Amino acid sequence: MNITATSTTPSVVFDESSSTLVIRGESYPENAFEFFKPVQQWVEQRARASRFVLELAVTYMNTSSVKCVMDLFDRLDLAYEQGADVLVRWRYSETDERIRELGEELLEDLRAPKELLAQR
Amino acid sequence: MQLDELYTFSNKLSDQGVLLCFNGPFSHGIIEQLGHALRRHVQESGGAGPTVMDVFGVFVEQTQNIQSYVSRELAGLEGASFGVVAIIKEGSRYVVQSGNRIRDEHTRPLLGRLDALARADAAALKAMYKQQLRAQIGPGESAGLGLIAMARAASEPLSYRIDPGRDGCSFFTLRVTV
Repeated sequence: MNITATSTTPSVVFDESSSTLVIRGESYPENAFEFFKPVQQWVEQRARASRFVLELAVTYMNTSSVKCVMDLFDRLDLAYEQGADVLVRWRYSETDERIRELGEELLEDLRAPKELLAQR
Repeated sequence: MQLDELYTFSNKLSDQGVLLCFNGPFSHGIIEQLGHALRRHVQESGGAGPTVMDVFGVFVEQTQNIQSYVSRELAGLEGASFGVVAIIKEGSRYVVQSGNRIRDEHTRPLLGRLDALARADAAALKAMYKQQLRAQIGPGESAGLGLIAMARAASEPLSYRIDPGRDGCSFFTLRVTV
C-alpha cells in the first residue's frame, strides 16, 4: 500500500520493517468513501496476518473522512477481539489542540491497544 | 449589474467585514482554492491556529454539503449547482454563512434536524456525533455528520432560514459563528 498525498487527500504508506500503515496529511476529498475504500479492504486483510500498527498523523479531516477512519478502527477492534496483534497510534503536533481532541474522542471507544503521542 | 454598482457592492461587503465571498457553481476545485485563501485571510486577520482550523472546518462542511446535495438532488435543474458562501469577521469572531437551493419537501426534515441541534448542549451534541459516526449509511448518502460538527465548532447556536423560491425549490441559508 503506497498512496501519494494530494492537496486534499493524505498519503497512505505501509512500512514493512515496522508493520506500520501510516496515514499522514489532510483529508477532505470530494468523496472520502471512495478514497478510503481500498485502504479499508487492505487493512481488513493485513490486520489479521501478523503484527499490525495503524498510525494516524493527520492535520485536518472533514467529517466523512473521520467516519472512514472510525470504520478502520472498528475493523481493527474486531480483528483484535479475534486474537490479532494490532495497535492504533494517533500522532499530533503538541500545538494542535483540535487534532489532539479529535484523537482522544476517536480512541475513547477503542478496545484494541492504542497510543496518543504528542510531537514537538 | 451596472458599471457603477460593483464598486458599491464591493464597499458594502468590506463594510460588513466580509473577508471572502463566492457566488456561483460549486466544484471540488473551487472549494479547495477558496479554502486555501480563507486560511490565509483568517490567519492574517489575527485568527489563532485553532480558530483558523475551526473556520476552515465549518467552511469545508458547509460547501461540501451543498456540493453533494445539489449534485445528488438537483441534477438537471437550471442553475442548481449555484451556491453562495461568505466568511465574515465580526469583532473577534468569524462567521461562515452559506446558501443554496433545496427541494421544498426537504425543508421540513432539515429544519427538524437543525431545531434539535439548536436545543442540544455540548454533551448532547457529542452523543449525537458519536451515534452518527457509527450509523450505517447507504451508498451515495452523506455521512450526516456535517451539521453536528458545525454545531460543535460554533460558539453560539446555529442560525438558519428558508426563503421561498421557484421550481419546487426554496433557498436555505445557514449561519455559523465560530
